[in-house]
Amino acid sequence: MDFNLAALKLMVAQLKEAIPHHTPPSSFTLGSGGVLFQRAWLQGLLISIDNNNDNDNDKDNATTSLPRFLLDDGTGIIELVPINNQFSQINWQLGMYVMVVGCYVNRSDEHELPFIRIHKIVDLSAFPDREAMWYLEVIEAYRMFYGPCIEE
Amino acid sequence: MASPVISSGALIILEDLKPSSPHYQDGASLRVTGKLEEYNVETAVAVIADGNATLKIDTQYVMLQYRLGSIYQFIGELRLESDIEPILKARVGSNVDGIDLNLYRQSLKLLKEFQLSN
Repeated sequence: MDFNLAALKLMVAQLKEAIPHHTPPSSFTLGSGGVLFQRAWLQGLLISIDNNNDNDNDKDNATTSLPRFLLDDGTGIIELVPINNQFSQINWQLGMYVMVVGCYVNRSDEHELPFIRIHKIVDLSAFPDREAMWYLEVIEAYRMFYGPCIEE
Repeated sequence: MASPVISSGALIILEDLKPSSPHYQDGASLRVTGKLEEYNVETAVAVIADGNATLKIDTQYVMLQYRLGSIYQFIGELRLESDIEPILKARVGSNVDGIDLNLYRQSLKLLKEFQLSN
């Protein structure tokens, strides 16, 4: 993960339209010629929590099973895979409104959901107005920063 | 892990959930927000309201403390059957007391405009 590239504030619907890019590896652009990114910042509701994950496919994951989540942000659903087990101690609940930041991974198998390998997840449930503000933040970020890049 | 058998809950204001709305379809996945006006413990059916609009919610799968006057948000599928009032079969829900519903409605409106223009 290249932490020099900013995490973009996006909705899942925008992520799904992102175009894969080669350098740096595993990066994407928002629209052709648009902003380059690897990481995204999303906010939404946890609609599924899987604590007993027996993921045989994840061969490079040497740690014990990590919780996996599904996030619904109103425009799409995305899977969240923690980068390590630092989040396992927290009592995650269905319906929690969370913000997450992590690396966007678009699986080649189109039957699989894309996922975010999250390095940050924060429960914002105590602040319900954060949801309304989030939609405004996403719109503002696009209008001020990401959109103008594409139009150039 | 998952294949996309569940759809994202479309963000909707209760007042916009009318028969003319594209979201007014049997099986449509919606996210709704409103104040709890009625709750039947036996059937687990709640009625939430926002402005002049109300919606019945089947809450049997959503274990929360239901308090009249509190504001809740639910994601679930709309069930429409002839002769019966529409009801949302909720999968997930939460108490969002403290939310500014005016701000929320305005934000959703702006989001919808943004999505249409991009």
